Amino acid sequence: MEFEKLILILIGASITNNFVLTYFLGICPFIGVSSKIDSAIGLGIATTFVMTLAATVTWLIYYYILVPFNLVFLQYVTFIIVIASLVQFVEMFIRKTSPPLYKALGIFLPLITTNCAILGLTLFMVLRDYNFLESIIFGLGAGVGFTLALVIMAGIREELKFADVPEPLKGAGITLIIAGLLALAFMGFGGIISSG
Amino acid sequence: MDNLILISILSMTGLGIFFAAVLAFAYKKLKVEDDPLVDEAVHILPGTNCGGCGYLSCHDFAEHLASGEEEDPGKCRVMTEEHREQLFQLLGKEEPASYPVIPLVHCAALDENKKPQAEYKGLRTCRAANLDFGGGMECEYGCMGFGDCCWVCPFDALHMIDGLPKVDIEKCTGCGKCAEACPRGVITMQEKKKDKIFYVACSSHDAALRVRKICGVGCIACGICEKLSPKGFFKITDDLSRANFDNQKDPEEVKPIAKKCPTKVIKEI
Repeated sequence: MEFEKLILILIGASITNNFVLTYFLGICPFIGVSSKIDSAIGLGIATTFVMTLAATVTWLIYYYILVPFNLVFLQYVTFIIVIASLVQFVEMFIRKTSPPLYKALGIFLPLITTNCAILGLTLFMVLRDYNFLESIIFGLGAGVGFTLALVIMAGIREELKFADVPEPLKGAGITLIIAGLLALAFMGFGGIISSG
Repeated sequence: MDNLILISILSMTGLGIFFAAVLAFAYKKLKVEDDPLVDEAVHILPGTNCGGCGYLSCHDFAEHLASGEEEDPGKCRVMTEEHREQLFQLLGKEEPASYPVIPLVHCAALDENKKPQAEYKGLRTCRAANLDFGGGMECEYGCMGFGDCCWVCPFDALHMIDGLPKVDIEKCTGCGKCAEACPRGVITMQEKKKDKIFYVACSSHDAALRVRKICGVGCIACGICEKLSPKGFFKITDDLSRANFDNQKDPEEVKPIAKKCPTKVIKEI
Protein backbone atom coordinates (compact mmCIF):
# COMPACT_ATOMS: atom_id res chain seq x y z
CA MET A 1 0.00 0.00 0.00
CA GLU A 2 2.75 2.36 1.05
CA PHE A 3 4.81 1.49 -2.02
CA GLU A 4 1.82 1.96 -4.29
CA LYS A 5 1.25 5.42 -2.86
CA LEU A 6 4.88 6.38 -3.51
CA ILE A 7 4.60 5.32 -7.15
CA LEU A 8 1.40 7.31 -7.47
CA ILE A 9 3.07 10.41 -6.02
CA LEU A 10 6.03 10.02 -8.37
CA ILE A 11 3.89 9.67 -11.49
CA GLY A 12 1.46 12.29 -10.27
CA ALA A 13 4.14 14.91 -9.69
CA SER A 14 6.02 14.21 -12.89
CA ILE A 15 3.25 13.58 -15.42
CA THR A 16 -0.37 14.07 -14.50
CA ASN A 17 0.18 17.14 -12.36
CA ASN A 18 3.32 18.28 -14.09
CA PHE A 19 4.53 21.44 -12.38
CA VAL A 20 5.24 23.32 -15.56
CA LEU A 21 2.48 22.18 -17.86
CA THR A 22 -0.38 21.74 -15.42
CA TYR A 23 0.32 24.17 -12.59
CA PHE A 24 2.21 26.67 -14.82
CA LEU A 25 4.97 27.06 -12.26
CA GLY A 26 8.54 27.78 -13.36
CA ILE A 27 7.63 29.16 -16.76
CA CYS A 28 10.63 31.52 -16.86
CA PRO A 29 13.37 28.88 -17.24
CA PHE A 30 10.92 26.76 -19.26
CA ILE A 31 10.95 29.43 -21.96
CA GLY A 32 14.45 30.73 -21.28
CA VAL A 33 16.61 27.60 -21.28
CA SER A 34 14.69 25.43 -23.71
CA SER A 35 16.51 26.37 -26.90
CA LYS A 36 19.08 23.58 -26.70
CA ILE A 37 18.57 20.03 -25.45
CA ASP A 38 21.97 19.87 -23.73
CA SER A 39 21.45 22.90 -21.53
CA ALA A 40 17.81 21.87 -20.95
CA ILE A 41 18.99 18.54 -19.55
CA GLY A 42 21.63 20.34 -17.47
CA LEU A 43 19.15 22.76 -15.95
CA GLY A 44 16.64 19.94 -15.50
CA ILE A 45 19.12 17.89 -13.49
CA ALA A 46 20.20 20.91 -11.44
CA THR A 47 16.57 21.76 -10.69
CA THR A 48 15.73 18.14 -9.86
CA PHE A 49 18.64 18.08 -7.45
CA VAL A 50 17.56 21.31 -5.80
CA MET A 51 13.93 20.14 -5.64
CA THR A 52 14.72 16.79 -4.04
CA LEU A 53 17.08 18.34 -1.53
CA ALA A 54 14.72 21.23 -0.83
CA ALA A 55 11.87 18.81 -0.15
CA THR A 56 14.07 16.78 2.22
CA VAL A 57 15.51 19.72 4.14
CA THR A 58 12.28 21.70 4.36
CA TRP A 59 10.40 18.65 5.61
CA LEU A 60 12.94 18.19 8.39
CA ILE A 61 12.87 21.87 9.31
CA TYR A 62 9.10 22.10 9.11
CA TYR A 63 8.33 19.12 11.29
CA TYR A 64 11.26 19.33 13.74
CA ILE A 65 11.61 23.10 14.16
CA LEU A 66 8.61 25.02 12.89
CA VAL A 67 5.77 22.79 14.13
CA PRO A 68 7.11 22.05 17.66
CA PHE A 69 7.88 25.73 18.30
CA ASN A 70 4.62 26.97 16.80
CA LEU A 71 6.45 28.89 14.08
CA VAL A 72 4.45 27.71 11.08
CA PHE A 73 3.81 31.32 10.08
CA LEU A 74 7.50 31.57 9.25
CA GLN A 75 7.33 28.80 6.66
CA TYR A 76 7.68 31.04 3.59
CA VAL A 77 10.80 32.77 4.90
CA THR A 78 12.33 29.52 6.05
CA PHE A 79 11.64 27.73 2.78
CA ILE A 80 13.12 30.56 0.77
CA ILE A 81 16.27 30.57 2.92
CA VAL A 82 16.62 26.82 2.36
CA ILE A 83 16.09 27.11 -1.42
CA ALA A 84 18.45 30.05 -1.79
CA SER A 85 21.23 28.30 0.10
CA LEU A 86 20.77 25.11 -1.89
CA VAL A 87 20.91 26.99 -5.17
CA GLN A 88 24.09 28.75 -4.08
CA PHE A 89 25.55 25.39 -3.26
CA VAL A 90 24.52 23.85 -6.58
CA GLU A 91 25.90 26.86 -8.42
CA MET A 92 29.31 26.48 -6.80
CA PHE A 93 29.23 22.75 -7.42
CA ILE A 94 28.40 23.08 -11.13
CA ARG A 95 30.94 25.85 -11.59
CA LYS A 96 33.62 23.60 -10.17
CA THR A 97 32.65 20.39 -11.93
CA SER A 98 31.34 21.55 -15.30
CA PRO A 99 32.31 25.05 -16.47
CA PRO A 100 30.68 24.58 -19.91
CA LEU A 101 27.34 23.77 -18.30
CA TYR A 102 27.80 26.71 -15.93
CA LYS A 103 28.28 28.96 -18.94
CA ALA A 104 25.36 27.49 -20.88
CA LEU A 105 22.95 27.98 -17.99
CA GLY A 106 24.16 31.51 -17.34
CA ILE A 107 21.73 33.64 -15.39
CA PHE A 108 19.15 30.86 -15.14
CA LEU A 109 21.22 28.93 -12.63
CA PRO A 110 21.00 31.52 -9.82
CA LEU A 111 17.44 32.14 -10.96
CA ILE A 112 16.47 28.63 -9.79
CA THR A 113 16.21 30.45 -6.43
CA THR A 114 13.22 32.39 -7.65
CA ASN A 115 11.78 29.46 -9.58
CA CYS A 116 8.30 29.30 -8.13
CA ALA A 117 8.09 25.59 -8.94
CA ILE A 118 10.44 24.90 -6.03
CA LEU A 119 8.66 27.07 -3.48
CA GLY A 120 5.41 25.61 -4.83
CA LEU A 121 6.75 22.13 -4.26
CA THR A 122 7.60 22.76 -0.63
CA LEU A 123 4.24 24.41 0.04
CA PHE A 124 2.28 21.59 -1.64
CA MET A 125 4.28 19.13 0.42
CA VAL A 126 3.11 20.78 3.64
CA LEU A 127 -0.44 21.23 2.36
CA ARG A 128 -0.83 17.56 1.46
CA ASP A 129 0.67 16.25 4.73
CA TYR A 130 3.25 14.04 3.07
CA ASN A 131 5.54 12.05 5.34
CA PHE A 132 9.32 12.14 5.00
CA LEU A 133 9.73 9.48 2.33
CA GLU A 134 6.75 10.75 0.36
CA SER A 135 8.22 14.26 0.37
CA ILE A 136 11.49 13.07 -1.09
CA ILE A 137 9.68 11.12 -3.80
CA PHE A 138 7.42 14.11 -4.45
CA GLY A 139 10.48 16.38 -4.90
CA LEU A 140 12.12 13.87 -7.20
CA GLY A 141 8.94 13.45 -9.24
CA ALA A 142 8.47 17.19 -9.58
CA GLY A 143 12.08 17.54 -10.73
CA VAL A 144 11.71 14.74 -13.26
CA GLY A 145 8.50 16.36 -14.52
CA PHE A 146 10.25 19.71 -14.86
CA THR A 147 13.12 18.10 -16.75
CA LEU A 148 10.68 16.23 -18.97
CA ALA A 149 8.79 19.38 -19.90
CA LEU A 150 12.02 21.29 -20.51
CA VAL A 151 13.54 18.56 -22.69
CA ILE A 152 10.37 18.05 -24.76
CA MET A 153 10.21 21.80 -25.30
CA ALA A 154 13.89 21.99 -26.25
CA GLY A 155 13.48 19.10 -28.68
CA ILE A 156 10.57 20.80 -30.41
CA ARG A 157 12.39 24.12 -30.53
CA GLU A 158 15.48 22.54 -32.09
CA GLU A 159 13.33 21.08 -34.85
CA LEU A 160 11.58 24.40 -35.19
CA LYS A 161 14.72 25.97 -36.66
CA PHE A 162 13.89 24.17 -39.90
CA ALA A 163 10.25 25.15 -39.89
CA ASP A 164 8.82 28.02 -41.85
CA VAL A 165 7.32 30.14 -39.07
CA PRO A 166 5.27 33.18 -40.06
CA GLU A 167 7.27 36.36 -39.51
CA PRO A 168 5.21 37.90 -36.66
CA LEU A 169 5.24 34.64 -34.68
CA LYS A 170 9.01 34.10 -34.78
CA GLY A 171 10.76 33.81 -31.42
CA ALA A 172 8.64 34.21 -28.33
CA GLY A 173 5.28 33.97 -30.14
CA ILE A 174 5.66 30.46 -31.51
CA THR A 175 7.35 29.31 -28.28
CA LEU A 176 4.33 30.33 -26.23
CA ILE A 177 1.97 28.66 -28.70
CA ILE A 178 3.97 25.43 -28.42
CA ALA A 179 3.92 25.70 -24.63
CA GLY A 180 0.14 25.99 -24.80
CA LEU A 181 -0.18 22.96 -27.08
CA LEU A 182 2.09 20.94 -24.80
CA ALA A 183 -0.04 21.90 -21.82
CA LEU A 184 -3.13 20.74 -23.73
CA ALA A 185 -1.40 17.46 -24.53
CA PHE A 186 -0.52 16.94 -20.87
CA MET A 187 -4.15 17.49 -19.93
CA GLY A 188 -4.71 14.15 -21.59
CA PHE A 189 -2.90 12.47 -18.68
CA GLY A 190 -5.32 14.10 -16.28
CA GLY A 191 -7.64 11.12 -15.96
CA ILE A 192 -5.00 8.52 -15.15
CA ILE A 193 -4.72 9.18 -11.43
CA SER A 194 -7.11 11.21 -9.37
CA SER A 195 -4.69 12.24 -6.65
CA GLY A 196 -1.27 13.70 -7.32
CA MET B 1 3.90 36.35 23.14
CA ASP B 2 7.37 37.66 24.01
CA ASN B 3 8.44 34.09 24.15
CA LEU B 4 7.22 33.48 20.60
CA ILE B 5 9.15 36.43 19.23
CA LEU B 6 12.26 35.29 21.04
CA ILE B 7 11.91 31.75 19.71
CA SER B 8 11.32 32.99 16.15
CA ILE B 9 14.38 35.21 16.28
CA LEU B 10 16.53 32.50 17.75
CA SER B 11 15.42 29.76 15.38
CA MET B 12 15.75 31.98 12.30
CA THR B 13 19.19 33.14 13.41
CA GLY B 14 20.16 29.56 14.04
CA LEU B 15 19.03 28.47 10.60
CA GLY B 16 20.76 31.42 8.98
CA ILE B 17 24.03 30.67 10.75
CA PHE B 18 23.74 26.99 9.90
CA PHE B 19 23.24 27.62 6.17
CA ALA B 20 25.92 30.31 6.14
CA ALA B 21 28.34 27.85 7.66
CA VAL B 22 27.47 25.16 5.11
CA LEU B 23 27.91 27.62 2.26
CA ALA B 24 31.17 28.97 3.65
CA PHE B 25 32.48 25.45 3.93
CA ALA B 26 31.33 24.60 0.39
CA TYR B 27 32.90 27.83 -0.91
CA LYS B 28 36.27 26.81 0.51
CA LYS B 29 36.01 23.31 -0.93
CA LEU B 30 34.64 24.26 -4.33
CA LYS B 31 36.46 27.54 -4.97
CA VAL B 32 37.25 28.25 -8.59
CA GLU B 33 40.24 30.46 -9.25
CA ASP B 34 39.22 33.41 -11.38
CA ASP B 35 41.70 34.73 -13.87
CA PRO B 36 43.03 37.94 -12.23
CA LEU B 37 43.15 39.43 -15.72
CA VAL B 38 39.33 39.37 -15.83
CA ASP B 39 39.04 41.49 -12.69
CA GLU B 40 41.53 44.03 -13.95
CA ALA B 41 39.84 44.26 -17.34
CA VAL B 42 36.44 44.70 -15.69
CA HIS B 43 37.81 47.65 -13.71
CA ILE B 44 39.00 49.33 -16.90
CA LEU B 45 35.84 48.70 -18.92
CA PRO B 46 33.13 51.34 -18.56
CA GLY B 47 30.61 49.08 -16.81
CA THR B 48 27.63 50.43 -18.72
CA ASN B 49 26.76 46.91 -19.97
CA CYS B 50 25.46 48.48 -23.19
CA GLY B 51 26.20 45.40 -25.29
CA GLY B 52 27.83 47.39 -28.06
CA CYS B 53 30.73 44.92 -28.18
CA GLY B 54 28.35 42.03 -28.86
CA TYR B 55 28.67 40.42 -25.43
CA LEU B 56 26.11 40.23 -22.64
CA SER B 57 27.90 42.50 -20.22
CA CYS B 58 31.23 44.17 -19.56
CA HIS B 59 32.15 41.20 -17.37
CA ASP B 60 31.34 38.76 -20.16
CA PHE B 61 33.46 40.80 -22.57
CA ALA B 62 36.34 40.85 -20.07
CA GLU B 63 36.14 37.07 -19.66
CA HIS B 64 36.33 36.53 -23.39
CA LEU B 65 39.25 38.95 -23.65
CA ALA B 66 41.14 37.24 -20.85
CA SER B 67 40.64 33.77 -22.29
CA GLY B 68 41.80 34.95 -25.70
CA GLU B 69 38.54 34.03 -27.44
CA GLU B 70 38.03 37.68 -28.29
CA GLU B 71 41.07 39.25 -29.87
CA ASP B 72 39.98 42.82 -30.38
CA PRO B 73 39.66 44.89 -27.17
CA GLY B 74 38.74 47.82 -29.42
CA LYS B 75 35.25 46.37 -29.83
CA CYS B 76 34.25 48.39 -26.83
CA ARG B 77 33.36 51.75 -28.28
CA VAL B 78 32.39 53.35 -25.03
CA MET B 79 35.79 53.53 -23.34
CA THR B 80 37.62 56.83 -22.99
CA GLU B 81 40.97 57.18 -24.77
CA GLU B 82 42.84 56.77 -21.51
CA HIS B 83 41.05 53.55 -20.57
CA ARG B 84 41.50 52.25 -24.08
CA GLU B 85 45.26 52.60 -23.78
CA GLN B 86 45.22 50.90 -20.37
CA LEU B 87 43.22 47.97 -21.69
CA PHE B 88 45.48 47.41 -24.67
CA GLN B 89 48.48 47.63 -22.35
CA LEU B 90 46.97 45.15 -19.92
CA LEU B 91 46.39 42.62 -22.67
CA GLY B 92 49.78 43.32 -24.25
CA LYS B 93 48.39 44.29 -27.64
CA GLU B 94 49.25 47.02 -30.12
CA GLU B 95 46.62 49.70 -30.28
CA PRO B 96 45.50 50.34 -33.86
CA ALA B 97 44.56 53.82 -34.97
CA SER B 98 40.94 54.31 -34.12
CA TYR B 99 38.30 56.68 -35.35
CA PRO B 100 35.05 57.68 -33.75
CA VAL B 101 32.04 55.78 -34.97
CA ILE B 102 28.90 57.81 -35.45
CA PRO B 103 25.35 57.00 -36.47
CA LEU B 104 24.26 58.39 -39.81
CA VAL B 105 20.55 59.06 -40.23
CA HIS B 106 19.66 58.22 -43.81
CA CYS B 107 16.55 60.34 -44.02
CA ALA B 108 16.07 64.08 -44.37
CA ALA B 109 12.30 64.36 -44.19
CA LEU B 110 11.23 66.65 -41.36
CA ASP B 111 7.66 66.58 -40.10
CA GLU B 112 6.53 69.02 -42.77
CA ASN B 113 8.00 66.85 -45.57
CA LYS B 114 6.38 63.61 -44.49
CA LYS B 115 3.17 62.94 -46.43
CA PRO B 116 0.63 60.89 -44.50
CA GLN B 117 -1.51 58.31 -46.28
CA ALA B 118 -3.64 57.47 -43.28
CA GLU B 119 -4.06 58.41 -39.66
CA TYR B 120 -2.11 56.16 -37.30
CA LYS B 121 -3.59 55.54 -33.90
CA GLY B 122 -1.56 52.53 -32.77
CA LEU B 123 1.37 52.20 -30.42
CA ARG B 124 3.67 55.18 -30.63
CA THR B 125 6.81 53.20 -31.42
CA CYS B 126 8.62 52.75 -34.74
CA ARG B 127 8.64 48.99 -34.32
CA ALA B 128 4.86 48.77 -34.03
CA ALA B 129 4.23 51.39 -36.68
CA ASN B 130 6.49 49.65 -39.15
CA LEU B 131 4.48 46.44 -38.82
CA ASP B 132 1.33 48.47 -39.38
CA PHE B 133 2.08 49.81 -42.86
CA GLY B 134 4.62 52.33 -41.61
CA GLY B 135 2.39 54.23 -39.23
CA GLY B 136 0.42 55.88 -42.00
CA MET B 137 3.45 57.43 -43.66
CA GLU B 138 3.54 57.38 -47.44
CA CYS B 139 7.30 56.73 -47.75
CA GLU B 140 8.07 53.13 -46.88
CA TYR B 141 11.80 53.67 -46.41
CA GLY B 142 12.22 56.80 -44.31
CA CYS B 143 12.23 57.70 -40.64
CA MET B 144 8.78 57.42 -39.03
CA GLY B 145 9.82 59.68 -36.20
CA PHE B 146 8.48 57.83 -33.16
CA GLY B 147 11.98 57.84 -31.72
CA ASP B 148 12.78 54.22 -30.84
CA CYS B 149 16.41 55.13 -31.45
CA CYS B 150 16.25 57.97 -28.93
CA TRP B 151 14.95 55.96 -26.02
CA VAL B 152 17.23 52.97 -26.54
CA CYS B 153 20.26 55.27 -26.45
CA PRO B 154 22.02 54.57 -23.11
CA PHE B 155 23.92 57.85 -23.35
CA ASP B 156 21.11 60.31 -24.13
CA ALA B 157 22.83 61.25 -27.36
CA LEU B 158 19.84 61.14 -29.73
CA HIS B 159 16.91 63.52 -29.65
CA MET B 160 13.86 63.75 -31.87
CA ILE B 161 13.81 67.22 -33.35
CA ASP B 162 11.11 68.09 -35.90
CA GLY B 163 10.56 64.42 -36.69
CA LEU B 164 14.17 63.39 -37.24
CA PRO B 165 16.67 62.00 -34.73
CA LYS B 166 19.49 64.43 -34.09
CA VAL B 167 22.81 62.99 -32.96
CA ASP B 168 24.68 64.72 -30.16
CA ILE B 169 28.22 63.89 -31.28
CA GLU B 170 29.69 64.93 -27.91
CA LYS B 171 27.62 62.34 -26.04
CA CYS B 172 27.57 59.59 -28.68
CA THR B 173 29.93 56.71 -28.02
CA GLY B 174 29.11 54.76 -31.17
CA CYS B 175 27.68 51.70 -29.42
CA GLY B 176 25.23 51.10 -32.27
CA LYS B 177 22.06 50.51 -30.25
CA CYS B 178 20.14 53.04 -32.31
CA ALA B 179 21.04 51.34 -35.58
CA GLU B 180 19.79 48.06 -34.13
CA ALA B 181 16.58 49.62 -32.87
CA CYS B 182 15.55 51.19 -36.17
CA PRO B 183 13.14 48.74 -37.83
CA ARG B 184 13.75 50.27 -41.25
CA GLY B 185 17.54 50.41 -41.05
CA VAL B 186 17.55 54.15 -41.57
CA ILE B 187 20.46 54.53 -39.16
CA THR B 188 23.84 53.02 -40.00
CA MET B 189 27.06 53.19 -38.04
CA GLN B 190 30.03 54.73 -39.83
CA GLU B 191 33.68 55.26 -38.89
CA LYS B 192 34.44 58.93 -39.24
CA LYS B 193 37.96 58.97 -40.62
CA LYS B 194 38.01 62.59 -41.83
CA ASP B 195 36.79 65.62 -39.95
CA LYS B 196 34.00 65.91 -42.48
CA ILE B 197 32.26 63.09 -44.29
CA PHE B 198 29.44 63.34 -46.79
CA TYR B 199 26.52 60.96 -46.81
CA VAL B 200 23.21 60.64 -48.63
CA ALA B 201 20.43 61.35 -46.16
CA CYS B 202 17.81 59.17 -47.82
CA SER B 203 16.95 55.48 -47.84
CA SER B 204 14.24 55.49 -50.51
CA HIS B 205 14.47 53.08 -53.41
CA ASP B 206 11.40 54.68 -54.99
CA ALA B 207 11.58 56.17 -58.48
CA ALA B 208 12.24 59.88 -58.89
CA LEU B 209 8.64 60.87 -59.61
CA ARG B 210 7.29 59.22 -56.50
CA VAL B 211 10.07 60.60 -54.29
CA ARG B 212 9.32 64.13 -55.50
CA LYS B 213 5.59 63.64 -54.90
CA ILE B 214 5.66 62.13 -51.41
CA CYS B 215 8.75 63.72 -49.91
CA GLY B 216 10.62 66.31 -51.93
CA VAL B 217 13.83 66.04 -49.95
CA GLY B 218 14.82 62.50 -50.95
CA CYS B 219 17.33 61.06 -53.39
CA ILE B 220 15.85 60.98 -56.87
CA ALA B 221 18.79 59.05 -58.31
CA CYS B 222 19.39 61.69 -60.95
CA GLY B 223 23.00 60.56 -61.19
CA ILE B 224 24.63 63.98 -60.91
CA CYS B 225 26.74 63.07 -57.89
CA GLU B 226 27.94 59.87 -59.55
CA LYS B 227 28.79 61.58 -62.83
CA LEU B 228 30.66 64.45 -61.21
CA SER B 229 32.85 62.22 -59.08
CA PRO B 230 35.28 60.19 -61.19
CA LYS B 231 36.97 59.01 -58.00
CA GLY B 232 33.75 57.24 -57.00
CA PHE B 233 32.56 59.29 -54.05
CA PHE B 234 28.98 58.25 -54.73
CA LYS B 235 27.42 55.24 -56.38
CA ILE B 236 23.82 54.75 -57.44
CA THR B 237 22.18 51.36 -57.09
CA ASP B 238 18.45 50.61 -57.08
CA ASP B 239 17.39 54.25 -57.46
CA LEU B 240 19.41 55.35 -54.49
CA SER B 241 22.77 57.06 -54.20
CA ARG B 242 25.14 55.82 -51.51
CA ALA B 243 28.38 57.45 -50.40
CA ASN B 244 31.57 55.44 -50.66
CA PHE B 245 33.42 56.66 -47.58
CA ASP B 246 36.69 54.91 -48.42
CA ASN B 247 37.04 57.04 -51.53
CA GLN B 248 36.30 60.32 -49.76
CA LYS B 249 39.96 61.08 -49.07
CA ASP B 250 39.75 64.88 -49.29
CA PRO B 251 36.58 66.56 -48.00
CA GLU B 252 37.29 69.67 -50.09
CA GLU B 253 36.94 67.61 -53.27
CA VAL B 254 33.59 66.19 -52.25
CA LYS B 255 32.03 69.42 -51.03
CA PRO B 256 31.32 71.08 -54.42
CA ILE B 257 29.76 67.85 -55.68
CA ALA B 258 27.56 67.60 -52.62
CA LYS B 259 26.41 71.17 -53.26
CA LYS B 260 25.25 70.19 -56.76
CA CYS B 261 22.62 67.76 -55.52
CA PRO B 262 19.24 69.07 -56.77
CA THR B 263 17.30 67.95 -53.69
CA LYS B 264 20.14 68.88 -51.30
CA VAL B 265 20.06 65.41 -49.82
CA ILE B 266 23.82 64.99 -49.52
CA LYS B 267 24.67 66.14 -46.02
CA GLU B 268 27.98 66.67 -44.34
CA ILE B 269 28.69 65.67 -40.78
